[in-house]
Amino acid sequence: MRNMSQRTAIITLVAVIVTGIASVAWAAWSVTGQGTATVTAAEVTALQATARPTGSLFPGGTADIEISVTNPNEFAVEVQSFAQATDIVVDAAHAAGCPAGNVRLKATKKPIGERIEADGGRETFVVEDAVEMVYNAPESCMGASFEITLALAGVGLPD
Amino acid sequence: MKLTTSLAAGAVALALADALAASGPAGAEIRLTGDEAHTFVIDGTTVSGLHPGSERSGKLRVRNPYTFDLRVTSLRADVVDSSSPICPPHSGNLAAGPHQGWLPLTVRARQSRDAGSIPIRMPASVTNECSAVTFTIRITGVATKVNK
Repeated sequence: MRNMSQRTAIITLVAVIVTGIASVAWAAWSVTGQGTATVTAAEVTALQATARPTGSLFPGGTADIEISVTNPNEFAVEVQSFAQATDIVVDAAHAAGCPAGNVRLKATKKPIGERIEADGGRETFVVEDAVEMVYNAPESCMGASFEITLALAGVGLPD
Repeated sequence: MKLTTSLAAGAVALALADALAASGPAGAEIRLTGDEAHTFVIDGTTVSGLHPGSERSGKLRVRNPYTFDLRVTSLRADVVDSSSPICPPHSGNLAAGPHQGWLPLTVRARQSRDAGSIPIRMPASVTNECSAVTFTIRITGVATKVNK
């Protein structure tokens, strides 16, 4: 009776040890790895644009503006609208008799929606009836030049 | 009593068989566990020029510092940090997709190997504040020892 109890005890002890080793080995079975990478978003660079009227203004009349845009960004851009960026400047010879308020930008009839390709892509487009002269502009505005600085607004396009 | 002893012996034999089947050669694996510095390295290439609505691929390379071959079974990437507090690292600003490439992948002892890539996408909804921001991508992987 006593001998049997000892055998049972020894066997049980062995079982515990084996289970312990199995547990350690299992924990080591998977090895993990780590690393990091960096991702940098593109920097947005201002579009480069030039504009010129396609005709002459007269009291109550409008003129189109031709705009050329170059996109220096790494992504394509859609030009959606433009606005007057600073006060209109009248040339020095006419400034005294022709206040700048005689000329103003008009709201565009339709969205511009011009796509300019990435990396130096260039597009030229015409915005119809973009600028107008008030109907009661004084005669002293004849021959005047108006400098209008435009700010273009656009969005980056997906690849 | 004889019956009791016999059952106990059977249990021991089964436990031993299970342990060997699950763990393979136990000695090598015990050494691994003892050294917590052991881990393999995943190198990710630097990606730049991401803009709203764009996707780039970040290539991965796995380095195995061990004296035995590894079988890489999983790789994943998570956006964990950004260089700007006003452009936080969440999926609305930048998202890392599931690993692209063959797995499992065996990397020989003390060698490195290309390990596919991770697609990284900047959603169209990203804010202007994320322009020129640098994000940190954490890459993690799991591997097992190749038994020869």
